[in-house]
Amino acid sequence: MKKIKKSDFPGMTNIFGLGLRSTHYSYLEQRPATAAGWFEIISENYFRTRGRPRKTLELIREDYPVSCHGVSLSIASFQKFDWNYLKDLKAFYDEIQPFQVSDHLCFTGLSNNNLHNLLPFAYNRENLIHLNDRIDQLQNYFGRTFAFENLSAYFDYNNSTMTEWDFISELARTTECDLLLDLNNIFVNSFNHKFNARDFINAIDFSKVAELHFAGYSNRDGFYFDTHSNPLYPELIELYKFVLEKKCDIPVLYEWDEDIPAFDILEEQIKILKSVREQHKQ
Amino acid sequence: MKQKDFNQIFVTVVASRSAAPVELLAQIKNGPVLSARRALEVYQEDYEARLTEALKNTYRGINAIIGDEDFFILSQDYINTHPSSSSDLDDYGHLLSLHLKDHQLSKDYIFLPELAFFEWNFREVFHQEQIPGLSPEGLMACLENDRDMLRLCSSLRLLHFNFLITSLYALKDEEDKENELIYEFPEYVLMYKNGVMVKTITLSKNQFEILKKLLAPASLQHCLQNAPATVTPDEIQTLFTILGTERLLLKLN
Repeated sequence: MKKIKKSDFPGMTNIFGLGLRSTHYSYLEQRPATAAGWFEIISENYFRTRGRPRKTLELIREDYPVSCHGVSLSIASFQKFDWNYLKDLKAFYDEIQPFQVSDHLCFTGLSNNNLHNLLPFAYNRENLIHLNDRIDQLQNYFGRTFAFENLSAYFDYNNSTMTEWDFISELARTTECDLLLDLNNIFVNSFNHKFNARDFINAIDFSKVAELHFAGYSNRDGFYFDTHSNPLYPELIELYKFVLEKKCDIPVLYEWDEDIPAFDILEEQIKILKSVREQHKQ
Repeated sequence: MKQKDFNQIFVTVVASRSAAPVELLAQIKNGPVLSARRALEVYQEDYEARLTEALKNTYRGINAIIGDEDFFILSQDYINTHPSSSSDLDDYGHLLSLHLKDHQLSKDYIFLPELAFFEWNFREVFHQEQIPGLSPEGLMACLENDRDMLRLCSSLRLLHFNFLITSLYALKDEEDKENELIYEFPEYVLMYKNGVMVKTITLSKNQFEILKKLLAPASLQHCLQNAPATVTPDEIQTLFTILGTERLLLKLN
Protein backbone atom coordinates (compact mmCIF):
# COMPACT_ATOMS: atom_id res chain seq x y z
CA MET A 1 0.00 0.00 0.00
CA LYS A 2 1.36 3.39 -1.00
CA LYS A 3 2.11 5.60 1.98
CA ILE A 4 3.01 9.17 1.27
CA LYS A 5 4.87 10.63 4.20
CA LYS A 6 5.56 14.21 5.04
CA SER A 7 9.23 13.53 4.26
CA ASP A 8 8.04 13.26 0.63
CA PHE A 9 7.35 16.97 0.88
CA PRO A 10 10.72 18.62 1.48
CA GLY A 11 8.96 21.94 1.98
CA MET A 12 6.94 20.64 4.90
CA THR A 13 9.03 21.71 7.85
CA ASN A 14 6.01 23.08 9.66
CA ILE A 15 3.61 20.34 10.77
CA PHE A 16 0.83 22.75 11.77
CA GLY A 17 -1.91 23.15 9.19
CA LEU A 18 -5.24 24.91 8.74
CA GLY A 19 -8.52 24.01 7.07
CA LEU A 20 -8.97 25.92 3.79
CA ARG A 21 -12.36 27.64 3.79
CA SER A 22 -14.00 29.93 1.20
CA THR A 23 -14.20 32.77 3.74
CA HIS A 24 -10.45 33.20 3.38
CA TYR A 25 -10.10 32.86 -0.41
CA SER A 26 -9.74 36.58 -1.06
CA TYR A 27 -6.99 36.85 1.53
CA LEU A 28 -5.11 33.70 0.53
CA GLU A 29 -5.32 34.45 -3.20
CA GLN A 30 -2.89 37.28 -2.50
CA ARG A 31 -0.42 34.58 -1.40
CA PRO A 32 0.57 36.09 1.95
CA ALA A 33 3.10 34.39 4.22
CA THR A 34 1.08 32.41 6.77
CA ALA A 35 1.69 30.50 9.99
CA ALA A 36 0.37 27.34 8.30
CA GLY A 37 2.75 24.67 7.05
CA TRP A 38 0.01 22.97 5.07
CA PHE A 39 -3.70 23.16 4.29
CA GLU A 40 -6.47 20.63 4.52
CA ILE A 41 -9.47 20.75 2.23
CA ILE A 42 -12.87 19.09 2.40
CA SER A 43 -12.58 16.99 -0.77
CA GLU A 44 -16.28 17.25 -1.67
CA ASN A 45 -16.05 21.03 -1.84
CA TYR A 46 -13.40 20.85 -4.55
CA PHE A 47 -13.39 17.63 -6.52
CA ARG A 48 -16.23 18.39 -8.93
CA THR A 49 -15.92 22.13 -9.32
CA ARG A 50 -13.84 23.98 -11.88
CA GLY A 51 -14.74 27.35 -10.41
CA ARG A 52 -13.13 29.59 -7.85
CA PRO A 53 -12.71 26.91 -5.14
CA ARG A 54 -10.61 24.81 -7.51
CA LYS A 55 -8.60 27.78 -8.78
CA THR A 56 -7.81 28.87 -5.24
CA LEU A 57 -6.83 25.33 -4.30
CA GLU A 58 -4.48 25.13 -7.28
CA LEU A 59 -2.85 28.35 -6.14
CA ILE A 60 -2.51 27.09 -2.57
CA ARG A 61 -1.10 23.81 -3.84
CA GLU A 62 1.73 25.68 -5.53
CA ASP A 63 2.88 26.95 -2.14
CA TYR A 64 1.81 24.30 0.38
CA PRO A 65 1.35 20.57 0.82
CA VAL A 66 -2.34 19.74 0.87
CA SER A 67 -4.30 17.04 2.65
CA CYS A 68 -7.72 15.88 1.34
CA HIS A 69 -10.30 15.18 3.99
CA GLY A 70 -13.63 13.68 2.92
CA VAL A 71 -17.08 13.68 4.51
CA SER A 72 -19.08 11.43 2.17
CA LEU A 73 -17.22 8.15 1.84
CA SER A 74 -19.67 6.48 4.24
CA ILE A 75 -17.20 3.71 4.94
CA ALA A 76 -19.46 2.09 7.54
CA SER A 77 -22.45 1.94 5.21
CA PHE A 78 -23.98 -1.39 4.28
CA GLN A 79 -24.75 -0.17 0.78
CA LYS A 80 -22.39 -0.50 -2.16
CA PHE A 81 -19.74 2.15 -2.66
CA ASP A 82 -20.75 5.01 -4.92
CA TRP A 83 -18.24 4.17 -7.64
CA ASN A 84 -18.82 7.41 -9.56
CA TYR A 85 -17.90 9.32 -6.43
CA LEU A 86 -14.79 7.17 -5.90
CA LYS A 87 -13.74 7.53 -9.54
CA ASP A 88 -13.97 11.33 -9.39
CA LEU A 89 -12.19 11.39 -6.05
CA LYS A 90 -9.36 9.26 -7.40
CA ALA A 91 -8.91 11.54 -10.41
CA PHE A 92 -8.90 14.52 -8.06
CA TYR A 93 -6.19 12.97 -5.86
CA ASP A 94 -4.12 12.26 -8.95
CA GLU A 95 -4.33 15.91 -9.89
CA ILE A 96 -3.81 17.49 -6.48
CA GLN A 97 -1.30 14.96 -5.12
CA PRO A 98 -2.25 15.30 -1.46
CA PHE A 99 0.27 14.14 1.15
CA GLN A 100 -2.62 12.61 3.05
CA VAL A 101 -6.17 11.42 2.32
CA SER A 102 -8.74 10.80 4.97
CA ASP A 103 -12.42 10.45 5.85
CA HIS A 104 -14.48 9.50 8.89
CA LEU A 105 -15.36 6.24 10.64
CA CYS A 106 -19.08 6.56 10.09
CA PHE A 107 -21.97 6.17 7.71
CA THR A 108 -23.61 9.29 6.28
CA GLY A 109 -27.06 8.07 5.30
CA LEU A 110 -28.42 6.04 2.41
CA SER A 111 -27.68 6.49 -1.29
CA ASN A 112 -31.08 8.09 -1.90
CA ASN A 113 -31.08 10.01 1.37
CA ASN A 114 -27.75 11.46 2.39
CA LEU A 115 -28.08 13.05 5.82
CA HIS A 116 -24.75 14.87 5.32
CA ASN A 117 -23.82 14.00 8.85
CA LEU A 118 -21.24 11.68 10.37
CA LEU A 119 -23.28 8.92 11.96
CA PRO A 120 -22.05 6.42 14.52
CA PHE A 121 -22.35 2.64 14.39
CA ALA A 122 -22.13 -0.06 17.05
CA TYR A 123 -18.65 -0.98 18.19
CA ASN A 124 -18.82 -4.74 17.88
CA ARG A 125 -17.17 -7.63 16.09
CA GLU A 126 -19.68 -7.71 13.23
CA ASN A 127 -18.98 -4.09 12.31
CA LEU A 128 -15.25 -4.57 12.73
CA ILE A 129 -15.27 -7.34 10.12
CA HIS A 130 -17.50 -5.24 7.86
CA LEU A 131 -15.17 -2.24 8.07
CA ASN A 132 -12.09 -4.37 7.50
CA ASP A 133 -13.61 -5.58 4.28
CA ARG A 134 -14.71 -2.10 3.13
CA ILE A 135 -11.38 -0.45 3.95
CA ASP A 136 -9.52 -3.19 2.07
CA GLN A 137 -11.72 -2.66 -1.00
CA LEU A 138 -11.27 1.07 -0.82
CA GLN A 139 -7.52 1.10 -0.35
CA ASN A 140 -7.02 -1.46 -3.09
CA TYR A 141 -9.01 0.69 -5.50
CA PHE A 142 -7.08 3.84 -4.64
CA GLY A 143 -3.74 2.10 -4.21
CA ARG A 144 -3.01 4.18 -1.16
CA THR A 145 -3.59 4.33 2.57
CA PHE A 146 -6.50 6.28 4.03
CA ALA A 147 -6.59 7.75 7.50
CA PHE A 148 -9.92 7.44 9.33
CA GLU A 149 -11.12 9.91 11.90
CA ASN A 150 -12.90 9.17 15.16
CA LEU A 151 -16.31 10.85 15.50
CA SER A 152 -18.22 13.04 17.82
CA ALA A 153 -21.20 10.81 18.54
CA TYR A 154 -24.21 11.75 20.60
CA PHE A 155 -25.27 8.22 21.43
CA ASP A 156 -23.84 4.77 21.80
CA TYR A 157 -25.53 1.49 20.92
CA ASN A 158 -26.84 -1.08 23.32
CA ASN A 159 -25.20 -3.76 21.18
CA SER A 160 -21.73 -2.21 21.31
CA THR A 161 -19.44 -4.76 22.85
CA MET A 162 -16.25 -2.67 22.76
CA THR A 163 -15.30 0.84 23.74
CA GLU A 164 -14.73 3.26 20.87
CA TRP A 165 -10.98 3.28 21.53
CA ASP A 166 -10.71 -0.51 21.61
CA PHE A 167 -12.65 -0.71 18.36
CA ILE A 168 -10.45 1.88 16.66
CA SER A 169 -7.24 0.31 17.94
CA GLU A 170 -8.37 -3.10 16.73
CA LEU A 171 -9.32 -1.66 13.35
CA ALA A 172 -5.93 0.00 12.96
CA ARG A 173 -4.23 -3.25 13.96
CA THR A 174 -6.19 -5.43 11.54
CA THR A 175 -6.22 -3.20 8.45
CA GLU A 176 -3.57 -1.16 6.73
CA CYS A 177 -5.44 2.07 7.36
CA ASP A 178 -4.08 4.94 9.41
CA LEU A 179 -5.86 6.92 12.08
CA LEU A 180 -6.75 10.55 12.14
CA LEU A 181 -7.18 11.35 15.79
CA ASP A 182 -9.52 14.23 16.46
CA LEU A 183 -8.77 15.36 20.01
CA ASN A 184 -11.80 17.67 20.04
CA ASN A 185 -14.06 14.71 19.24
CA ILE A 186 -12.45 12.61 21.95
CA PHE A 187 -12.97 15.42 24.43
CA VAL A 188 -16.59 16.07 23.37
CA ASN A 189 -17.38 12.35 23.65
CA SER A 190 -15.60 12.06 26.99
CA PHE A 191 -17.89 14.76 28.36
CA ASN A 192 -21.11 13.49 26.79
CA HIS A 193 -20.45 9.82 27.54
CA LYS A 194 -18.47 10.34 30.74
CA PHE A 195 -15.16 8.61 30.19
CA ASN A 196 -11.58 9.68 30.67
CA ALA A 197 -10.15 11.05 27.42
CA ARG A 198 -6.71 9.83 28.45
CA ASP A 199 -7.97 6.23 28.51
CA PHE A 200 -8.85 6.69 24.84
CA ILE A 201 -5.44 8.12 23.98
CA ASN A 202 -3.61 5.45 25.99
CA ALA A 203 -5.26 2.71 23.95
CA ILE A 204 -4.03 4.07 20.61
CA ASP A 205 -0.97 2.79 18.77
CA PHE A 206 0.59 6.10 17.77
CA SER A 207 2.63 4.55 15.00
CA LYS A 208 -0.72 4.42 13.14
CA VAL A 209 -1.72 8.03 13.80
CA ALA A 210 -1.16 10.09 10.67
CA GLU A 211 -2.80 13.34 11.74
CA LEU A 212 -4.32 15.18 14.69
CA HIS A 213 -7.37 17.45 14.50
CA PHE A 214 -8.23 20.28 16.85
CA ALA A 215 -11.33 22.50 16.90
CA GLY A 216 -13.58 24.35 19.31
CA TYR A 217 -16.86 22.76 20.39
CA SER A 218 -19.98 24.50 21.78
CA ASN A 219 -21.85 23.93 25.00
CA ARG A 220 -25.47 23.41 24.00
CA ASP A 221 -27.99 23.03 26.81
CA GLY A 222 -25.72 20.88 28.91
CA PHE A 223 -24.03 18.77 26.29
CA TYR A 224 -20.99 19.46 24.13
CA PHE A 225 -21.64 19.83 20.42
CA ASP A 226 -18.93 19.52 17.80
CA THR A 227 -19.46 22.80 15.96
CA HIS A 228 -15.88 23.80 15.02
CA SER A 229 -16.88 27.31 15.98
CA ASN A 230 -14.55 28.35 18.77
CA PRO A 231 -10.90 28.88 19.63
CA LEU A 232 -8.79 26.27 21.31
CA TYR A 233 -9.92 25.31 24.81
CA PRO A 234 -7.37 24.73 27.62
CA GLU A 235 -8.59 21.13 28.00
CA LEU A 236 -7.48 20.39 24.44
CA ILE A 237 -4.07 21.89 25.08
CA GLU A 238 -3.72 19.52 28.01
CA LEU A 239 -4.70 16.60 25.80
CA TYR A 240 -2.15 17.68 23.22
CA LYS A 241 0.56 17.68 25.89
CA PHE A 242 -0.49 14.15 26.76
CA VAL A 243 -0.24 13.10 23.10
CA LEU A 244 3.17 14.73 22.75
CA GLU A 245 4.47 12.36 25.40
CA LYS A 246 3.67 9.55 23.00
CA LYS A 247 4.64 11.07 19.66
CA CYS A 248 5.48 14.62 18.73
CA ASP A 249 5.89 14.79 14.95
CA ILE A 250 2.30 14.12 13.89
CA PRO A 251 0.83 16.75 11.51
CA VAL A 252 -1.66 18.91 13.39
CA LEU A 253 -4.71 20.65 11.93
CA TYR A 254 -6.96 23.34 13.33
CA GLU A 255 -10.49 23.41 11.85
CA TRP A 256 -13.03 26.22 12.06
CA ASP A 257 -16.34 25.79 10.20
CA GLU A 258 -19.03 27.96 11.78
CA ASP A 259 -18.85 31.70 12.46
CA ILE A 260 -15.47 31.61 10.77
CA PRO A 261 -13.25 34.48 11.93
CA ALA A 262 -10.46 36.37 10.13
CA PHE A 263 -7.51 34.24 9.05
CA ASP A 264 -5.18 35.61 11.72
CA ILE A 265 -7.45 34.20 14.44
CA LEU A 266 -6.98 30.76 12.92
CA GLU A 267 -3.24 31.32 12.76
CA GLU A 268 -3.32 32.16 16.47
CA GLN A 269 -4.63 28.67 17.23
CA ILE A 270 -1.78 26.87 15.52
CA LYS A 271 0.74 29.27 17.01
CA ILE A 272 -0.49 28.23 20.46
CA LEU A 273 -0.19 24.56 19.55
CA LYS A 274 3.22 25.15 18.05
CA SER A 275 4.46 26.79 21.24
CA VAL A 276 3.07 23.89 23.32
CA ARG A 277 5.10 21.53 21.18
CA GLU A 278 8.22 23.69 21.41
CA GLN A 279 7.95 23.75 25.19
CA HIS A 280 7.53 19.99 25.23
CA LYS A 281 10.67 19.50 23.13
CA GLN A 282 12.69 21.54 25.61
CA MET B 1 -31.33 -5.45 15.23
CA LYS B 2 -28.68 -5.65 12.50
CA GLN B 3 -26.74 -2.46 11.82
CA LYS B 4 -27.97 -2.49 8.23
CA ASP B 5 -31.61 -2.44 9.38
CA PHE B 6 -30.88 0.16 12.04
CA ASN B 7 -29.35 2.45 9.43
CA GLN B 8 -32.49 2.29 7.28
CA ILE B 9 -34.85 3.17 10.11
CA PHE B 10 -32.51 5.75 11.62
CA VAL B 11 -32.12 7.64 8.33
CA THR B 12 -35.89 7.66 7.76
CA VAL B 13 -36.62 8.95 11.26
CA VAL B 14 -33.93 11.64 11.12
CA ALA B 15 -34.92 12.84 7.66
CA SER B 16 -38.64 12.92 8.44
CA ARG B 17 -38.02 14.45 11.88
CA SER B 18 -40.71 12.10 13.14
CA ALA B 19 -41.03 10.42 16.53
CA ALA B 20 -38.71 7.46 16.88
CA PRO B 21 -40.29 4.02 16.91
CA VAL B 22 -39.76 1.94 20.04
CA GLU B 23 -37.59 -0.61 18.21
CA LEU B 24 -35.15 2.12 17.19
CA LEU B 25 -34.94 3.66 20.65
CA ALA B 26 -34.32 0.21 22.08
CA GLN B 27 -31.03 0.07 20.15
CA ILE B 28 -29.77 3.38 21.54
CA LYS B 29 -28.21 3.63 24.98
CA ASN B 30 -29.53 6.31 27.30
CA GLY B 31 -26.36 8.28 27.93
CA PRO B 32 -25.33 10.05 31.11
CA VAL B 33 -25.94 13.44 29.46
CA LEU B 34 -28.30 12.74 26.59
CA SER B 35 -31.21 10.33 26.66
CA ALA B 36 -31.72 8.13 23.59
CA ARG B 37 -34.65 10.27 22.51
CA ARG B 38 -32.77 13.54 22.96
CA ALA B 39 -29.72 12.17 21.13
CA LEU B 40 -31.94 11.32 18.20
CA GLU B 41 -33.39 14.83 18.24
CA VAL B 42 -29.85 16.24 18.07
CA TYR B 43 -29.36 14.44 14.75
CA GLN B 44 -32.80 15.53 13.50
CA GLU B 45 -32.14 19.18 14.34
CA ASP B 46 -28.69 19.02 12.80
CA TYR B 47 -30.05 17.50 9.60
CA GLU B 48 -32.58 20.31 9.19
CA ALA B 49 -29.99 22.97 10.02
CA ARG B 50 -27.43 21.65 7.52
CA LEU B 51 -29.86 21.39 4.61
CA THR B 52 -31.46 24.75 5.38
CA GLU B 53 -28.03 26.36 5.45
CA ALA B 54 -27.17 24.78 2.09
CA LEU B 55 -30.38 26.23 0.57
CA LYS B 56 -29.65 29.62 2.10
CA ASN B 57 -26.18 29.67 0.58
CA THR B 58 -27.51 29.02 -2.91
CA TYR B 59 -30.73 31.04 -2.73
CA ARG B 60 -29.56 34.28 -1.10
CA GLY B 61 -31.79 36.36 -3.34
CA ILE B 62 -34.94 34.48 -2.34
CA ASN B 63 -33.93 34.55 1.33
CA ALA B 64 -33.42 38.32 1.20
CA ILE B 65 -36.82 38.94 -0.39
CA ILE B 66 -39.06 36.61 1.61
CA GLY B 67 -37.15 36.91 4.91
CA ASP B 68 -35.80 34.29 7.30
CA GLU B 69 -39.16 33.17 8.65
CA ASP B 70 -40.72 32.35 5.27
CA PHE B 71 -37.43 30.96 4.01
CA PHE B 72 -37.40 28.56 6.94
CA ILE B 73 -40.94 27.39 6.06
CA LEU B 74 -39.95 27.00 2.42
CA SER B 75 -36.83 25.04 3.40
CA GLN B 76 -38.79 22.72 5.65
CA ASP B 77 -41.30 22.00 2.88
CA TYR B 78 -38.51 21.36 0.41
CA ILE B 79 -36.48 19.18 2.78
CA ASN B 80 -39.59 17.11 3.57
CA THR B 81 -40.12 16.26 -0.08
CA HIS B 82 -36.57 16.31 -1.47
CA PRO B 83 -33.99 14.15 0.28
CA SER B 84 -30.41 14.69 -0.80
CA SER B 85 -28.78 12.05 -2.98
CA SER B 86 -25.57 13.93 -3.68
CA SER B 87 -22.23 13.47 -1.95
CA ASP B 88 -21.82 17.24 -1.82
CA LEU B 89 -24.14 19.22 0.42
CA ASP B 90 -23.60 22.28 -1.78
CA ASP B 91 -25.46 20.45 -4.57
CA TYR B 92 -28.63 20.43 -2.52
CA GLY B 93 -31.63 22.37 -3.84
CA HIS B 94 -31.53 21.92 -7.61
CA LEU B 95 -35.31 21.37 -7.81
CA LEU B 96 -36.34 24.39 -5.76
CA SER B 97 -37.55 26.31 -8.81
CA LEU B 98 -39.89 23.46 -9.73
CA HIS B 99 -40.99 23.08 -6.11
CA LEU B 100 -41.86 26.78 -5.94
CA LYS B 101 -44.22 26.59 -8.92
CA ASP B 102 -46.96 25.10 -6.74
CA HIS B 103 -45.92 26.63 -3.46
CA GLN B 104 -48.15 28.95 -1.44
CA LEU B 105 -45.35 31.55 -1.26
CA SER B 106 -45.39 31.93 -5.04
CA LYS B 107 -48.92 33.33 -4.80
CA ASP B 108 -47.53 36.34 -2.91
CA TYR B 109 -44.23 36.41 -4.76
CA ILE B 110 -45.12 35.39 -8.30
CA PHE B 111 -41.51 35.62 -9.52
CA LEU B 112 -40.04 33.09 -7.03
CA PRO B 113 -39.78 30.08 -9.40
CA GLU B 114 -37.89 32.24 -11.91
CA LEU B 115 -35.63 33.74 -9.26
CA ALA B 116 -34.81 30.24 -8.01
CA PHE B 117 -34.03 29.17 -11.58
CA PHE B 118 -31.72 32.18 -11.96
CA GLU B 119 -29.92 31.46 -8.69
CA TRP B 120 -29.39 27.78 -9.49
CA ASN B 121 -27.93 28.73 -12.90
CA PHE B 122 -25.73 31.27 -11.16
CA ARG B 123 -24.40 28.51 -8.92
CA GLU B 124 -23.79 26.20 -11.90
CA VAL B 125 -21.91 28.85 -13.88
CA PHE B 126 -19.85 29.69 -10.80
CA HIS B 127 -18.54 26.11 -10.71
CA GLN B 128 -17.85 25.91 -14.45
CA GLU B 129 -14.42 26.21 -15.95
CA GLN B 130 -13.92 29.34 -18.00
CA ILE B 131 -12.66 28.46 -21.46
CA PRO B 132 -11.87 31.70 -23.29
CA GLY B 133 -13.53 31.90 -26.67
CA LEU B 134 -12.70 33.90 -29.76
CA SER B 135 -11.02 37.29 -29.44
CA PRO B 136 -12.60 40.34 -31.18
CA GLU B 137 -10.18 39.78 -34.11
CA GLY B 138 -11.10 36.09 -34.33
CA LEU B 139 -14.74 37.01 -34.30
CA MET B 140 -14.26 39.50 -37.14
CA ALA B 141 -12.54 36.82 -39.23
CA CYS B 142 -15.47 34.45 -38.65
CA LEU B 143 -17.93 37.10 -39.79
CA GLU B 144 -16.32 36.96 -43.20
CA ASN B 145 -16.33 33.18 -43.50
CA ASP B 146 -19.65 31.40 -43.78
CA ARG B 147 -18.04 28.00 -43.16
CA ASP B 148 -16.82 28.83 -39.62
CA MET B 149 -19.26 27.23 -37.23
CA LEU B 150 -19.53 28.83 -33.82
CA ARG B 151 -21.30 28.05 -30.59
CA LEU B 152 -21.72 29.62 -27.17
CA CYS B 153 -19.17 28.77 -24.46
CA SER B 154 -20.36 26.05 -22.06
CA SER B 155 -19.92 28.36 -19.08
CA LEU B 156 -22.58 30.66 -20.52
CA ARG B 157 -26.35 30.69 -19.96
CA LEU B 158 -28.95 32.39 -22.09
CA LEU B 159 -32.00 32.96 -19.92
CA HIS B 160 -35.45 34.37 -20.54
CA PHE B 161 -37.68 35.53 -17.69
CA ASN B 162 -41.14 37.05 -17.38
CA PHE B 163 -39.93 39.38 -14.62
CA LEU B 164 -36.96 41.66 -14.04
CA ILE B 165 -35.03 38.94 -12.27
CA THR B 166 -31.60 40.59 -12.13
CA SER B 167 -33.13 43.59 -10.36
CA LEU B 168 -34.93 41.31 -7.91
CA TYR B 169 -31.70 39.37 -7.32
CA ALA B 170 -29.81 42.61 -6.69
CA LEU B 171 -32.17 43.40 -3.80
CA LYS B 172 -30.14 41.04 -1.61
CA ASP B 173 -27.36 43.61 -1.52
CA GLU B 174 -29.62 46.58 -0.84
CA GLU B 175 -30.22 47.98 2.62
CA ASP B 176 -33.72 49.25 1.92
CA LYS B 177 -35.71 46.40 0.42
CA GLU B 178 -38.98 48.27 0.90
CA ASN B 179 -38.37 50.46 -2.16
CA GLU B 180 -41.02 49.56 -4.64
CA LEU B 181 -39.65 47.74 -7.64
CA ILE B 182 -41.77 47.41 -10.74
CA TYR B 183 -40.67 44.03 -11.92
CA GLU B 184 -43.44 42.88 -14.24
CA PHE B 185 -41.45 43.16 -17.45
CA PRO B 186 -39.75 40.39 -19.37
CA GLU B 187 -35.99 40.17 -19.15
CA TYR B 188 -33.42 38.47 -21.41
CA VAL B 189 -30.20 37.63 -19.61
CA LEU B 190 -26.74 36.56 -20.66
CA MET B 191 -24.95 34.94 -17.71
CA TYR B 192 -21.31 33.93 -18.01
CA LYS B 193 -18.03 33.34 -16.26
CA ASN B 194 -15.80 36.36 -15.89
CA GLY B 195 -12.55 35.32 -14.23
CA VAL B 196 -13.66 33.48 -11.12
CA MET B 197 -16.87 35.51 -10.83
CA VAL B 198 -20.25 35.30 -12.59
CA LYS B 199 -21.44 38.24 -14.66
CA THR B 200 -24.90 38.98 -16.04
CA ILE B 201 -25.92 41.30 -18.85
CA THR B 202 -29.47 42.19 -19.83
CA LEU B 203 -30.06 41.78 -23.57
CA SER B 204 -32.75 43.09 -25.85
CA LYS B 205 -35.21 40.53 -27.23
CA ASN B 206 -33.59 40.84 -30.65
CA GLN B 207 -30.11 40.21 -29.25
CA PHE B 208 -31.47 37.23 -27.37
CA GLU B 209 -33.00 35.78 -30.56
CA ILE B 210 -29.70 36.13 -32.43
CA LEU B 211 -27.78 34.37 -29.65
CA LYS B 212 -30.36 31.60 -29.41
CA LYS B 213 -29.30 30.50 -32.87
CA LEU B 214 -25.82 29.80 -31.47
CA LEU B 215 -27.10 27.30 -28.89
CA ALA B 216 -26.55 24.85 -31.74
CA PRO B 217 -23.43 25.44 -33.85
CA ALA B 218 -24.08 28.00 -36.58
CA SER B 219 -22.15 30.48 -38.67
CA LEU B 220 -22.32 34.17 -37.78
CA GLN B 221 -23.60 34.93 -41.26
CA HIS B 222 -26.48 32.50 -40.73
CA CYS B 223 -27.32 34.18 -37.38
CA LEU B 224 -27.34 37.64 -38.88
CA GLN B 225 -29.23 36.67 -42.01
CA ASN B 226 -31.93 35.12 -39.81
CA ALA B 227 -31.98 37.91 -37.24
CA PRO B 228 -35.36 39.46 -36.33
CA ALA B 229 -36.47 42.06 -38.88
CA THR B 230 -36.61 44.77 -36.21
CA VAL B 231 -32.98 44.42 -35.10
CA THR B 232 -30.98 47.65 -35.27
CA PRO B 233 -27.30 48.06 -36.24
CA ASP B 234 -26.69 49.36 -32.73
CA GLU B 235 -28.07 46.18 -31.16
CA ILE B 236 -25.83 44.05 -33.37
CA GLN B 237 -22.81 46.23 -32.68
CA THR B 238 -23.32 46.08 -28.89
CA LEU B 239 -23.92 42.34 -28.93
CA PHE B 240 -20.77 41.56 -30.90
CA THR B 241 -18.69 43.90 -28.77
CA ILE B 242 -19.77 41.90 -25.68
CA LEU B 243 -19.18 38.54 -27.38
CA GLY B 244 -15.71 39.60 -28.54
CA THR B 245 -14.39 41.43 -25.48
CA GLU B 246 -15.74 38.80 -23.07
CA ARG B 247 -14.69 35.97 -25.44
CA LEU B 248 -17.97 34.08 -25.28
CA LEU B 249 -18.01 32.22 -28.60
CA LEU B 250 -16.11 29.07 -29.48
CA LYS B 251 -15.13 28.07 -32.97
CA LEU B 252 -15.68 24.43 -33.91
CA ASN B 253 -12.87 22.70 -35.75
